[in-house]
Amino acid sequence: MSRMPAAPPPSRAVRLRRAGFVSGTLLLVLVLAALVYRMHLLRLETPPPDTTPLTSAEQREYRALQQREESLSSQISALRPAATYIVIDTGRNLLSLYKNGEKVHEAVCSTGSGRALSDPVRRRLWVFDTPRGEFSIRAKYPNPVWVKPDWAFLEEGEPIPRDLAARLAPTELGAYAMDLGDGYLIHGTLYERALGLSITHGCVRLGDRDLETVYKTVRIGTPVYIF
Amino acid sequence: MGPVEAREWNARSWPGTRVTLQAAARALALVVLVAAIPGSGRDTEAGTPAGRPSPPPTRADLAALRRRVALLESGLALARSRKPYLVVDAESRRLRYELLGTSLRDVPAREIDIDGLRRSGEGGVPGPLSLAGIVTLKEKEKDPRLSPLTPEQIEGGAADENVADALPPEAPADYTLTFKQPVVVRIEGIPEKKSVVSRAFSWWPGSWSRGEDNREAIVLRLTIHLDETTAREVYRSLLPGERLVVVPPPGFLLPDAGQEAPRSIRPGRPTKPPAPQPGLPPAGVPFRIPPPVAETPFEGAAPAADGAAAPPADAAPAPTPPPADPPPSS
Repeated sequence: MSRMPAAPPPSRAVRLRRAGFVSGTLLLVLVLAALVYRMHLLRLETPPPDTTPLTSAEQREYRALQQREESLSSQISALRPAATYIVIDTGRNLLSLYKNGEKVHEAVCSTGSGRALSDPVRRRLWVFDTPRGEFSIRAKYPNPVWVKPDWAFLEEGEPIPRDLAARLAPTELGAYAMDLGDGYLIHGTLYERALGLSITHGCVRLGDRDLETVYKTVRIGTPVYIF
Repeated sequence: MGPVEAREWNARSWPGTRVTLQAAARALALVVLVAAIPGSGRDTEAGTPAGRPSPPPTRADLAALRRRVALLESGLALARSRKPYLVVDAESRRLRYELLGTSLRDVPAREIDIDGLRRSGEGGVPGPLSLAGIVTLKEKEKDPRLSPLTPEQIEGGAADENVADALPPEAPADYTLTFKQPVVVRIEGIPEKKSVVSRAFSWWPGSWSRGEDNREAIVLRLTIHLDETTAREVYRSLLPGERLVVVPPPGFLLPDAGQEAPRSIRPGRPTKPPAPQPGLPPAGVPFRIPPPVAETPFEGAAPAADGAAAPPADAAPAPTPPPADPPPSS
């Protein structure tokens, strides 16, 4: 009768490998469990619709709500814009021109950078945002001349001039400008490559061809909606 | 017209055919009869053929109607404010920019998670504020306006002479929006190109960031997953002070998080059309000419060309008075 020799104990390297395998598997299981917990258990499940018929009191409420719904819908419809208007999307930097509810032209533009500049010496602060809301074309200018404000010099690290002539920039705004009020304009740009970026000091910049199209389409009083 | 005449008309038009108008009329009557048999034919799109009474509304219909009316009430109040607002619709998983009741942009969300909702049916008839809640944005994370640049900072970094024209930092794709109400919205931009590993662990940073704010004070917490580009666009388009309408998914209600009642929103004034200009503006005239600098103090406010927002009244000098020769825009 022969006896098998006893197996030698596993070496340190083998034991380490086994321990690594076990702990790795455990970690994987834990991660998977966390994923399942995150993806399924925390989700809200929509309950099934209640198909119980309405009581008489609920039916009265239902009819009243139906009337209210119609009334509210008609009131909202009355506010909606019509005819020719402009919509400016500051998120995507897109200007859209609408006529009778249909988009007739879309152009890439540039809008406010959202940055702020402070002048600690004179305690002034500028926030370069394009304003949001409802505006209208208040004036149209061919060949506009930009009168550079103080911040334009501060930004460039230049002294603020006392002479008006030093502030004039006759080509900066392009061929046309449309005034939205409070100093905000839709105008052209010398830097068409930067169109599509949020880079302006609050005005809306357009490329030359789009600017001409918009300028020739809109009239004084055309609504402009900025969001 | 009698059948004989009809037959003659048919015979003249299609010689050799035996089909008369009388036969056609009989066929038509048969079709009408078959269509009138209950259960035959297909129902109309609304599910109720003409003349048949519609099924009585159920509680689910009532709940849906309550939700629609609550959303319309909020929508009307915000439309009257004449400011843009963002509707976060968890039911359709969409964000909608609206202004004056018009949808300006519709953004699909990959996912909208909401913590803090109540189940409907708890506590009787739900109030309209629990079906569509209006909240006002207070602050955007990483907002550049929170740390204004100074001329010294610009000069300090002016190794490049074009630093003034340097591009502003790109809008973030992952950020937190805080509101005047105890509500937090976390926007998470999902990269368009993403590896399996990074996709699997994308929830990890969001879980950690939850501990950053005062968790106990927050009543409602939304996490909106958008495409990375869209998330940046949403960041750019939202300004502090703008309003959001949060619409919970069906079967759930918003908690009482101090949401604004639609009646509390002040209506805005419609923009008045400008007065007609007397004559054509002379070509080449600047749209606004400041008075000679010598006539006003040096620190006089700059003309608001290129749209810088007016500085705060307490920090800013008086605005430039209009010139003697009125510009065409005034």
